[in-house]
Amino acid sequence: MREWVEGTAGLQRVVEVGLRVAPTLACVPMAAATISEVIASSNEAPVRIVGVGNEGNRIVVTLAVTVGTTSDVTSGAPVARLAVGMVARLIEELSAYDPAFTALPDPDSVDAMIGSRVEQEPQTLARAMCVLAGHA
Amino acid sequence: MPSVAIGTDTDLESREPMEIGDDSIITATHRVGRRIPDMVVGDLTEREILAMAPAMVCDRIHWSTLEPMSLTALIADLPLKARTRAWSDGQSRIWVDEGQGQQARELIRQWCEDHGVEVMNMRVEASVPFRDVDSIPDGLFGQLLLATTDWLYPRTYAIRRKLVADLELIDDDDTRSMMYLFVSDHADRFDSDRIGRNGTLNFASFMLGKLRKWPQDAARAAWGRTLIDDHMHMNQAIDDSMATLHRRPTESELADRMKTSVSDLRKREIAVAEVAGMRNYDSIISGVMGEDSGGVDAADSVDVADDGTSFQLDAMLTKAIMESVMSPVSTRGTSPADPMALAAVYLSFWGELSRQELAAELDVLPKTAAAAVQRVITQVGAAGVL
Repeated sequence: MREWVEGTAGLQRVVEVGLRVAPTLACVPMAAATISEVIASSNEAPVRIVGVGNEGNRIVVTLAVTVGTTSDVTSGAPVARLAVGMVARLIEELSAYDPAFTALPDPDSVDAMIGSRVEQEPQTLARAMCVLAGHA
Repeated sequence: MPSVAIGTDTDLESREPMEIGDDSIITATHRVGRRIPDMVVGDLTEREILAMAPAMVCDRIHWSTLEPMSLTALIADLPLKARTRAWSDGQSRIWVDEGQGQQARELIRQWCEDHGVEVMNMRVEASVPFRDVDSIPDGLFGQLLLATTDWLYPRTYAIRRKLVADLELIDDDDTRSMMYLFVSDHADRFDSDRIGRNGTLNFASFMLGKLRKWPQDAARAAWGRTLIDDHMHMNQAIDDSMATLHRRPTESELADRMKTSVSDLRKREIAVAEVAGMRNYDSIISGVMGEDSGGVDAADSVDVADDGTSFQLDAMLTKAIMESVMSPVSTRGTSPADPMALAAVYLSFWGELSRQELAAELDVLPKTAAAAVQRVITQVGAAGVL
């Protein structure tokens, strides 16, 4: 949720929001491709996969979107506004897979460990999701 | 009917210069404050009205009954001089001369037995102040209550907010009539002769002092004394820890501060959470939550992960929040996006930060963070998603 980055004013805290994408088992391959494509085209703010797992009959991919440093966020800096706009765009483009805010997973959780190993490439994410779908 | 006017009576300055001639006072916290004005009804000051029912010291007998009972008939049969007055809680109260409380209790108990009235929890409080305010003629006392409520109501916003926040089924619209009843209930114990560091106490000052504990008393009446005391002690311990350690206390630290065990603390937290959850904003998070979630609305037997609709509901809620964050209302500068609102809402509900923690996290005032959250909640609520 929060980490420290070095900026011009020293170490600053960063605000991250977690976004959960939850495709059903039937549409996992298409969802994996869409998620990878959306992440690759998200240039306004850093987006990373922080969790991959399954809940019920859904495969859940958790994305962490960096909104900005706390000073950027509270002052409404352009970079933070762009990041918020990008969150809105992510939600719009992934709307077929019920995107929703979620807490970022515990770094020690299985989902987080899978997420950390998934590189942001279509095949890697798709493979992980398909494996989970097969066991879901 | 005399008209109701509220304000300082300038005529009184010549009558009682020691009490209201100078408007400034030194408060209990050693700050300079302004004296609360005496209420005026028509041409009469509150002192003149209350002088019609002088303060006495009485013994009070206080009890409950299953069915409403006629205290007038009871008093007519008592061999003692007794007075009664209706309180809004519906319980029975009778005041007798000081020293006659125990005797009166036995007489009342006997009368109730003779008349088939079942009484509960009858008790005597000795030497309590009492005014027989019902003996004040011409509805003057009712108008004094109204004037006092009118003066107090706009000046007690924080107290009213706490009452609404703490108690289920109480809304903002209820607080004015509730305050009138509260003032009415406590009026009979007003002792205008008590002298403090700032002279004698006037009626509105006395009521303001009573109102400060009104939310706590009401919550105790609704949920039980133990539960509310635990709630207060936990909040106090967390605030103390935030002030000294700059973080929330761990379970063991909190248990140490509350001088109890961790297992007992957990039991108390669960009980308090069930009460606090009645109006907890976290309830907008539906569906899938972490295993360590503190949500109290979902029963343990319900597997929300299997609930297919929860994903859609969460998605709808998220979309509504983003629409609010991106709405023109939040426009600051050229872009409509409001990063502060998004961060505040996310960290409050999904980061599980309290208002103080959120303010510290974002390095803003608590009211700034709360306003950002509230604006989004209001818009999301107006959209009918909640």
